[in-house]
Amino acid sequence: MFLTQIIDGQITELELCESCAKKRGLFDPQSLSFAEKFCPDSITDKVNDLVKELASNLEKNINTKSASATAAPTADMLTQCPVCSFGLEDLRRSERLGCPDCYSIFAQELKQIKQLEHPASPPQAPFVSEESQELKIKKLELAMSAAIEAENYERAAELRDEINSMKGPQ
Amino acid sequence: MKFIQLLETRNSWTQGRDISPWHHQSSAGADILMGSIARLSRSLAGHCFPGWSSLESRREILSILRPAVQAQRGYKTAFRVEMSDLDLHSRRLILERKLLSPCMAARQEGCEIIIPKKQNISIMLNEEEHLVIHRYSQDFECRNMQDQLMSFAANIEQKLPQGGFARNEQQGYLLSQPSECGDGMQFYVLLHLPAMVLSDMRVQIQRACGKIGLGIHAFYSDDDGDTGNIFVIYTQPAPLGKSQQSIASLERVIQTLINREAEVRRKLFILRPWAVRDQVGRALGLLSYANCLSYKEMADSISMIRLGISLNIISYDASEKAITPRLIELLTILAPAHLAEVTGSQGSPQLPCERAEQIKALLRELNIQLKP
Ligand SMILES: [Zn+2]
Ligand SMILES: [Zn+2]
Repeated sequence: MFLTQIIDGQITELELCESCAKKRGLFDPQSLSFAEKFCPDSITDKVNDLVKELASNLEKNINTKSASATAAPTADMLTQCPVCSFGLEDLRRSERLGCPDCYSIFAQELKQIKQLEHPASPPQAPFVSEESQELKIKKLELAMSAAIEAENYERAAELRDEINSMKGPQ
Repeated sequence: MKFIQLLETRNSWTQGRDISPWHHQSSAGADILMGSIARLSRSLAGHCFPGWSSLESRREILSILRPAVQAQRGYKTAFRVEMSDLDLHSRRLILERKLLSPCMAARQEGCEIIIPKKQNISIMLNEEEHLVIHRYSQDFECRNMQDQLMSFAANIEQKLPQGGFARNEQQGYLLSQPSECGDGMQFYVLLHLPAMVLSDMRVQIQRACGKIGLGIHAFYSDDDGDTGNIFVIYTQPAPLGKSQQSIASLERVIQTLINREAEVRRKLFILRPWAVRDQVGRALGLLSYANCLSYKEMADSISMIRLGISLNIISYDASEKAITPRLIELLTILAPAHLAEVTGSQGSPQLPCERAEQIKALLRELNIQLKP
């Protein structure tokens, strides 16, 4: 079960889980009466629980976000993707990711998951993903906040210029 | 193109293959293979996956991908609609034409489908991934379809402003589920296996697929679970560089199942001809005399009639050159939403009666009878 499309902290729509979709058939003409058929009562209860959990997580996220603005973690110890705000906990719960950059943010965790699933396979180096422009900028912004926090204004100014040049002429 | 034009255009995909029956002794002609689908998935770097995205970010994806798709030849005039502008009935119609995945059918704002006039492709923006393309064929031609889809996606990528599709060298295309990363390709094949089902070989069919990592499910499922004689057999998302290999496994299993079904049909007919005649006769009886027909009853009975035709125990109007496609087409045009569209009575209890009437009329027109 995976919840989708969170708009302004409100879940507006539910997505059926993979196994339900497969079970229901890719194109079964009879399987289309979303809520009733895809979410029978037992599932609806589970969904409600998840919705509550997610709502409280969102609240926490908002709180930690304002806290992290002052703490300014360095870019390589992130538990949340700076591009999409997807967290490590979300990955553990849903076995999905929030955006392509999550692959480099959570490379270590993904490697461990793979190791657990295929214990026989030889240990691999964590995947090196190319970072998107968005992620590079977000990381520089984090570093800039940290520099400001440390009152290293010279470094912060350098970073600001680097960010501006990456964003290009708007 | 407007929705109404889309509906007025018959697509060959819903009619299945034009197969003349028994005189093709080869298994290929025996009305077993019903078509195949290739599915290509891509996501854009630097953007939230659709399952984790805000409306704003989905709209941004649309504004990037839509022009890139429309820049392709023939796509300016294609049917295009945002899911939130489709009511439930219209969604059912498109779904019954098998031009939409159920996942997409449940989507709302910021999710779009684009279907060209020929209806051999549907492009879904913000389905499970930012860009999902289904290519449909009445045949089983995965390699062709894969080549076409890959070059189509490459052409779309060329028109993207920057960044392109998310990928890395070790994992291939990056998708919303880590286990699905790789070539971003999946294949589905539809097989009609009535004789194997009649011979209680469901478990064997499943085992043949499971053994080499292919998925399988019945095309129809109801509250009692899987039913019917049509199966969807599919590959798991191919890891990087493995799609050729998964096509090869799929080809092997499909060929084995087709041969096996043809063999079981011949065996059944030789060893238990009365039993086959009984099943086909019951189906014809139901279609000929029932006053109300559920979709499932119709689908199961048509499967038996098709079996009867392939075993040459059903006779029909000799001037009808495309008997099997006409029967297969019923699975679409007499599905709930299509029937309601024609009769103008959505969700009416009359629909099963209307379905029965239309079938009776067709049986008369085609003069379908059990041979003595
Ligand atoms: Zn589920
Ligand atoms: Zn992310």
